[in-house]
Amino acid sequence: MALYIKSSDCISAQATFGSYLPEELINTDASFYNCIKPEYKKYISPKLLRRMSPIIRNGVSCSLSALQNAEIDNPDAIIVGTALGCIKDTTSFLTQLIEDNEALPNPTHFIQSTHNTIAGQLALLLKCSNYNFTFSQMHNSFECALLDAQLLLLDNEAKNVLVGGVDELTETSYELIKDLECYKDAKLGEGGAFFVLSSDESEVVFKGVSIINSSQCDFNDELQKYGLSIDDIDLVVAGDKFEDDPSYSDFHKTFAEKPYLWYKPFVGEFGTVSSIALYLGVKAIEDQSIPACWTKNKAKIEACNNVLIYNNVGGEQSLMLLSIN
Amino acid sequence: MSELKENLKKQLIEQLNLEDFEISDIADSDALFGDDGLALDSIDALEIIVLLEKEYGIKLDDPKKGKDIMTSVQTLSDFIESKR
Repeated sequence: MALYIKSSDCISAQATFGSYLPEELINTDASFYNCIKPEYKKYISPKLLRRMSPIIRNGVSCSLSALQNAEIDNPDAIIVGTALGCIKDTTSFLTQLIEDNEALPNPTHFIQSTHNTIAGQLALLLKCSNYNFTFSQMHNSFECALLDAQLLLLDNEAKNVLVGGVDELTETSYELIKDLECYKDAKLGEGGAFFVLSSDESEVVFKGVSIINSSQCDFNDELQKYGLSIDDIDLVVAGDKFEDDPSYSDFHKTFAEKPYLWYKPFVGEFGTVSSIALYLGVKAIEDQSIPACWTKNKAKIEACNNVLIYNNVGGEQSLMLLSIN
Repeated sequence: MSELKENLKKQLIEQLNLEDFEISDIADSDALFGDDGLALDSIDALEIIVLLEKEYGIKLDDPKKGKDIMTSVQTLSDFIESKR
């Protein structure tokens, strides 16, 4: 059974919101990337908005936009991937506990500090009591969510699944990540992307997602699982953080001749950033082109029938494959 | 406007993240809850209880009185004054 990506939207440090890919990129001198905020009030009432932290605002706005684009009021499942969850509310809550000697913590921060707040808020807003799940598996959080969505659809337990990945960056998490040296040489960022994955036929075929449980990855073997070879791939979207990123040297060698998109230098590194890579792949197939600013090499994009998306963060690797219908 | 009521309005705006409100938008007699006025809800009521204890050292011992105390900025201010 084929699965399709019916719609998508993305919030990032670039002007990607509105199911759009900008022709020009915004450069920043700041040491990390913050999201460009969409007009939240178009999607969320001011009464609810005032209580939502940035990750909830971004996740909910992005999801509602993707659902609107797919003309779906109530999905059969809501599945969210987030590496660090609602870290701003968690930080506020824990800070208050420490500063106030474990007395009088602020209830809103406590209520909204759990990872599943985004999926929960979506369920409340949509009055959707269907399957609702949140995955937190560091750099494979989004991939786990996607895999769960895929399984639900293949088991005929759902027809339209809202699935996405989102994370936020706060000053505290930035300082902690830098102190722990988790992402050496990477500029940190935040944001995410949401999709309606469906069994209803549409333009973009979602072939599948693979989480690689090994330090090595045989790309030919992986592609063969989907009935494809390296020659069949028209475009790759990879998570290189900078020019000559050693984590991507094998991938680069294998796909050196292919049109090569990258995105982390423009949106930053974070746990669910691969959702933005999938968004780029979807746009490439829908538009059959991509603005030049997103390409790493000068290889010309002629036809965009099969797109391979690869992410590798400290050996945690994943592959996603898209095809044109 | 008394200093206490002005402080209360400022604290409510900050604590409840009332982004669209300025101090001058809140009248002393405006209803805090219900469809009119600030249209706060039960989570806000919890926030106000925490605010009273944290900022003014006042504990709301009798929950039944909460509704009357938290009617408006005026009633909140009267309650704080009565405890001083």
